[in-house]
Formats: sequence, structure tokens, C-alpha cells
Amino acid sequence: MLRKSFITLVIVVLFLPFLPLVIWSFAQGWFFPQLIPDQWTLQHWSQLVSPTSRVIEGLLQSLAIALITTMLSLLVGLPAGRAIGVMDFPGKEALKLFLLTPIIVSPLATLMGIQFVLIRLGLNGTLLGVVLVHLMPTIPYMTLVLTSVFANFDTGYETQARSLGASPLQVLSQVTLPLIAPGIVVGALFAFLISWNEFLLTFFVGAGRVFTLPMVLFTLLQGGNNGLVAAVAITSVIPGLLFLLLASKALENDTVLGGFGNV
Amino acid sequence: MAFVKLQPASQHHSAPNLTRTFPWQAYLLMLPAVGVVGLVFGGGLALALLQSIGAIALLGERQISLAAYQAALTNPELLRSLSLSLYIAVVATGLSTVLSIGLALLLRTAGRWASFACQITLPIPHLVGIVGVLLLLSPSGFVSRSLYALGWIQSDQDFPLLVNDAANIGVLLHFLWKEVPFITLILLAVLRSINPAYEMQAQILGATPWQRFWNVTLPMMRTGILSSSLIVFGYIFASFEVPFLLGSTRPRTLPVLVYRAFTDSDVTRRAEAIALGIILSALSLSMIVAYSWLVSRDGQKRQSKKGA
Amino acid sequence: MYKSTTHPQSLMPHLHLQELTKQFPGVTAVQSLWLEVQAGEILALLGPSGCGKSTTLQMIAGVVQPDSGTITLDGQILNRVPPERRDIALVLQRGLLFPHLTVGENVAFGLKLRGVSRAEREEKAIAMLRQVQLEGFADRKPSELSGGQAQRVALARSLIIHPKLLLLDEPLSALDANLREEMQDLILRLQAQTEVTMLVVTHDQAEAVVMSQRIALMFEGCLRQVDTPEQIYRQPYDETVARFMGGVNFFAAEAHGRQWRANDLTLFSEYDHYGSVQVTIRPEQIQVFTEGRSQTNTLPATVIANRFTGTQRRLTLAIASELTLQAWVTPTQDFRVGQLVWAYLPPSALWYFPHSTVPHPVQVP
Repeated sequence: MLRKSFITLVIVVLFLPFLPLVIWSFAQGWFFPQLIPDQWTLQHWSQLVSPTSRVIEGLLQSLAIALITTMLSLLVGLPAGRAIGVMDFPGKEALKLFLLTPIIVSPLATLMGIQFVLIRLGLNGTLLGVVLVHLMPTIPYMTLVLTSVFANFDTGYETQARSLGASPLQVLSQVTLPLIAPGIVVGALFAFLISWNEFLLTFFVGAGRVFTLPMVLFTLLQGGNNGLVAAVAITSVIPGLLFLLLASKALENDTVLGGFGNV
Repeated sequence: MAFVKLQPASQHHSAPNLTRTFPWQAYLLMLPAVGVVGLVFGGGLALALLQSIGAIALLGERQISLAAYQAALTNPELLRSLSLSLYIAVVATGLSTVLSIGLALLLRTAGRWASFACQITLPIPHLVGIVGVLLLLSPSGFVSRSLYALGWIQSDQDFPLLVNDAANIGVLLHFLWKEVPFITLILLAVLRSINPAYEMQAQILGATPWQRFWNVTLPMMRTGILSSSLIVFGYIFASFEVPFLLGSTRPRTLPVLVYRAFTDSDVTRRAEAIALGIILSALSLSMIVAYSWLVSRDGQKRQSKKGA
Repeated sequence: MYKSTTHPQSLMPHLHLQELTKQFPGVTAVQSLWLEVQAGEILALLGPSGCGKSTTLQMIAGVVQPDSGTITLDGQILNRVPPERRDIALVLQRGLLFPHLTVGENVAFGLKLRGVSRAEREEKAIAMLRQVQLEGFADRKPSELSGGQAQRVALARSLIIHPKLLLLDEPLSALDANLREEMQDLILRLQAQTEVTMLVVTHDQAEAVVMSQRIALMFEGCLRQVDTPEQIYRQPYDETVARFMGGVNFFAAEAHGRQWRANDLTLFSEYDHYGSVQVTIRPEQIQVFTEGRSQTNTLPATVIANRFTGTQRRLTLAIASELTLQAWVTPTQDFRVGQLVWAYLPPSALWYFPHSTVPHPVQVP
């Protein structure tokens, strides 16, 4: 079947970069033109878990930043998504576009500008400062997803619950949130991934003191230890893949992704 | 910016829409998000602007002038950086979009695992992708070794330069690898929202599969295609780490140019760097504006077209 | 063999369905369907939801493949022909105009696919729009049209390519009641002008009766009766058919030739039979008098219910000895509940079911 072979080809190409990555992480001295390394070793992996490589430290910091960023962008994005998705008000389109600017306009100038304030506030080089700038790219994506979900949400359900005697809090926890759960999952997925993968923002604001996995990777790339680089790269990928797997069911929900097709 | 499948809120919901009379409720809900973005992004931009004209300064004395812009605009690399950035963004976005349309159509009737497998690059950090591309496509990379094993090349020098090359092929390939799954994911959702009865109706009216695609499916995907390609274009244009690590050393893309200026040991170049950054932001902004103008104008043009 | 008292004259049917069968997991949608439609005829495929009529339509259009059986149009077997080359037009319930094209572009769509030049397309589209009374609408967008207008554009879009067969799937059900008659007239007028063979699928018996020359009644995947509307009213095949067409009067009787005995009543019918029968009479046929007459089939009755529907007065009459019948009379006469009246059951209106009420599947002739 032509269709199937095309798809298989695409999948092979997409997975291809992982091959040398995995092999390198177990290779001891793998030189051109060998297709398979002479010697195999676990030293890269043991080096990875040792505290001197700072990889575990980077992993934990990345995790902390990503989780906090996700939480905060959810908190901020939910009301915004509701407002845009459900309500009609003057300036709605303008505000929606405004919220999208961080992902369309280059953040470089902003970074250089904000560093000024962060230094003054003493936030430069702190976890909090990094989280703050991470909110910039995550809020737009979160808003897009949640707007789409809310637009397809029938507020009649809430009205119904109220008439049956539910308090606003009960309506929120028992009706609204469960019904928009796929959207929350996907929004959180995007926010987590963006924060987890973010390099430039952390680089600028972290000032060398906040050490995330991308930073580790970047530093290692300047060196020549392919094996260690490969091992760290693989480690960086795992949480994201896990999250994607967990959220895959929610990703099939088209109402959630519709927002990206409606900028 | 037209809606494709989302209906206006007031028509969709069974509950009466009260916020027409109380818009402040909506503004209140928007406040946190708008506030954060405004403060961090907008504030940062404003501060950068101020710094670029010398109104405030981290180091050195304050002196309002346009010297930074002068330096930025007379930077000999500026034009070439700009054209390189545009070249990469346009080619990468264009190719990704076209390939994604094809892939989305292929996956439309495929099973869950096939679609899932095609999303694999989504959670991968760009840095990891860069590592992968380097290990795969550098002269001593895996592909080169495979070709050697096949006897197609004699040494690692024979392998065409794909990374850090003048044509930035490695960069383009990396972006294709990352962005095609992203756009495909979105387009798949858009495709599924199209009522299949339209295509059936076209088929009965006599449309061949190609005619169905060109006259019905593609136009109905239009908004989704434009929207996702806009997001991708913006991202690629502003990307730093990919061209920095995989791209040509000269010329550099604009973000890399800005970074170099900012981290230059000559501290006085910092203001110039910020000016360059402002120019970069202004360029991105004007591109969105141009895009939205184009889209709305195109929509109006279709309205006034005569029948058939 | 399903009941049919009228056989069209010409030998070669325009559309011929032979032993059409389609099964979906767990359910047989269409079972050995056999149907002939003549050129230029309007036939209604009528039945309740789920009876298989839409599936049959889809098979004729080519979007669903039958499991077995053949579809022949104008002498050509269509089974292997893809939908785009069948020369059949399908108008769906909601018109389904392409939202990204103007009304004019929608109408000309089929011509564009066939490579007709732009100037010619535009000209023909405008002419077609005039025929459906939507002159000047060519530049509008589908979203600006009402349901009825969209339906008319859909008709124009289908007829402009001069199909051999026009299929209409519930064309009136999405319209407001007052628009239905207009649309019916339009469809009938267009059919008369173009002489296209038309197959209308509907679940509304009133719609089928008005729009078609013959009705093919379908239940549970099988054809039960194919006849003119009048015949189906007057001589329904069985109780299911009679009830579907709005019949309400059913009672058991013993037939001795033309004399039928029900309970302790003796009735005379035009139809000859011997044995137990299930009798039916249309409520519109029963005549109600306030004074007795010495006609046969005139029975004393008491009015036990009286309902005004605007165009009719629906009376429920208790005929002596446990027989209740409905009589629908003109509203000019009024009756009181409890009033004593005389009900006349015309012999020609007394029909019976010679078969048991268990439905027979259609047999191949």
C-alpha cells in the first residue's frame, strides 16, 4: 500500500536522529567510519548521575521550573481562556492578539530589556526570575488551547448545575473543570514542554546560577564528549515523552487543538 | 481573522450571554494573563527601547541619543543577516507547511499509532534535535558512515557539508524535522472538523480526488494552514540556538547577530545590540501585521468576486 | 412480490435496482431490494427512520458499496463506476453549500469541474438561479441564506449539470411548514421542465403523497408496497403500511363474500373474500349524519371525543358493541360529546388485509 509505505518512511525519518544518539551514549571511542562502536561503555551514564556533571541538578531545576511555570500559566490562562472563549467584549480580538505576541515576536529585545529590571529587583539568576520569563512563551499557548476548549463549552451545563443548587465553587469543581479537563491536560502539556525545552530565556536570565538541562546540554555541546552529550540529550527527552504519552488521549480531542488553527 | 469552525460565543451557548452588559467581568478575567504578558513582555520591550536610546543605562552614563541605532543600521552584517533569517524562515515554513498538508491527508485515515508516531518530535527540545542532527549529518556523522559503508564516498571529506554550511541545510532540515509534526497535528484536527459530506457532495457533482482536494478540502483548511504557518514562521525567524549551533558561521541570522553583539567583550556594543534587538522585534511585529492585513484583505476580495 | 397495481408502460426502466443488499455489523440495512423507476418519473422512497432508504440512496449515488445486487441506470451497470462519473445528482437535507464559495460559484461548481469556461459558467449559473427564483443572489455567501434559499441553490447546483437521475434526501424536512409547499411546487415545476428522473427519500408520508407519482414503501430494509399514493391509501398492503400512512381504524371480522361480520354487525364491502380478516377504513371516508338513514353500512354511534385540528374535526365514535372508530369530517359541522349520530361506512372504503400481519420479505418476481 502506497499510503502505508509513505507513512512508514516519514516515521523512519522522524525517528532517525535517535539512532546515533542512543548508540553514542553507550559508545567508547566511536570513530569514522565505523558503523558500530568498537567498545561499549556505561561510563557516560555513570558520569551523568554523578554530582560533578551537574546533570541531576539540572534535571531537578528544570523540573521545578517547568512545574511551577505550568501551574502559574494554568492559573492565569484559565480565566483568560474563559473570557475569550465564552464572552464577547470590546477589544476582544486585540487582546487575543496581544496575548499571542510573545510567540510571534522575537523575545531577544525583551530579554535584554527585562534583564535590567531583574537585576535591579535582585531576581536575576534566581529560580523565580526564570519562572517569570518562562511565563512569556507559555501563556500564549495555554491561552490558545483553553480558548478553543471554552469556545466549544456549553455554559448551559453550569446554569443547569446552579439551578440544581450548586454553589459557584461546586460548579467549578464538579462541572466546569471535569468538562474542560482535556484542554487543561493539553495546555499543561504544551506549557510544560515549552518551559522544559526553553534555553535562551534561561540562558539570559539564569546568569549561570540557574542551571537547567538545556543549559547543561549547551555547555557540553561546546566540548567534544559526544557520548556524554548523547546521554544527557536522551535524559532531557524522557519526561517530555512521558507527559506526551499520558496526554495523548487528550490530544485526540479536536476542540482542544482547534485554537491553533484560528489565530 | 475569521473563525473556521468556532462559532461566535453568543450563538453557541444555551445560557444567555450576560457579558454584553458587563464587560468588566471579562476584563477582570483577562487581567492576570494580560498583566503578566504586558509587564514581562511589554515592559521588557519598553525597557529595551529606553535603553536603546540611552534613556536608562545599566552601565555607563545616561545620554539620550540615537547612536545605538546608527551603529546598528550601519552594521555591515545587518543586511545579510536579515536576508539569511528571511530565507531560512520562508523556506523552512513553506516546505514544512506543504509537507504537513500532505502528511495530514495521509494520516487522516490512519490508525492511532501512526498518528502518535508522527508526533514524536513534538516534545523533543530543539537542543536535543540539534545534537541529533549533528550526530547524524555532520561529516563524521551516522549518515556519512552509512554512505561510506555502502561505498558511495571514500572519506569523511567527501560527504557534503550539511551543518554549519553556507546554505544552512542542516538548519532547514532540523526545522522540518521539528515543525512538520507540529503543523500536521494541528492540520489533522482541522481536517477532522470538516464535514465529510462536503467532499461527498463534490464527488457526486463529478469531482475527481484531486479536484476534491483542490476545490473543497484545501480551501476549507485555509485558515488553519495560515494560522499554524504564522506561528511557525515567527518561531523560526526568532530562533537562536538552532542557527547558532547548526548554521553557517558567516553570515549569521539576525538573532545570532544580536546575541554576539550583546555578549561582545566590548561593552559599549551592548546598546547597539539592544537596538538590533528592537529592530528584530519590529520586523517580527510588522510581519504579523502584514499577514493579518493580507488575510483580511483576501477574505474581502473573495466576497466581492463574481459567481464562478 | 410486493403489492403493485400499476405497472408503467415502457419495458426498459431508467433506474433498475436488482436484489440490492447491504449489511452493517449487526444489522441488515437493505435486503434484496428490487425496484424499477421509469424515465422522467418521480418516485418517493418512503419509510420510518432506519428502514434503509438513506442507505439505498447512498448506494445509488455510489458513496456506499452494496454487498450484492446491481444498480443499472439507462442500461449501464453502475456498480463499479465511481460516484463522480455516475451522472447522478444528490441533494442532501441541508443543501450543504460550500462555505468558501459564493452562491454563483456553488451553482457553477459542477461545470467548473467539467472544464467549462468561466464566462459560460457564469452565464449558466445566473440562468439557473433565475429558474429557482434566486435572481441576483450570485454574489452572496451561503452563510447569508435562509434554509429554504440554500435548498434552492443546492437544487440549482445539481440540475445545472443535467444529471440522468436526481436524488433528493429529505428535501423538505428541514424547512418551516409554510415554506414546504413553495419548495414542493418548485421541485415539481423543475422536474416538469427538465424531465429528469427523480427519487425522493422521505419519512413524511404527507410529503411523499404530494410530491410523487409512485411511492415505494420501505420497512426494515425491504419494500412493502410500491404504488400510486392513492392506491396506498385505498388498498394498503398490511396494517403496518396502513398505520404508517395515518390509518387509525382497524378491527377484526369474518368475511363471507361481500358480507363481513364484525362482532354483531353486518357490513357490506366492495371486496370479495372468505375467512378471517383484519378490516381497515380511512377516517376521512366515514361520513357522519345527525339523522338516521336506511342505507347499508349505516350504524348508530355515540360521539365520545371531538377534536378540532383547524382543517378537520376528528370524532371518536363508539359504534354499538365494542367498536370504536375515528371519523374525520369537515369542521363546519359541530358535534357534542355524547351526541347520538349515524356513521356511514362506504362499501368501497372497507378494505381488508388478506395476509397475516407478519410482514413478508419481498420475493423476486
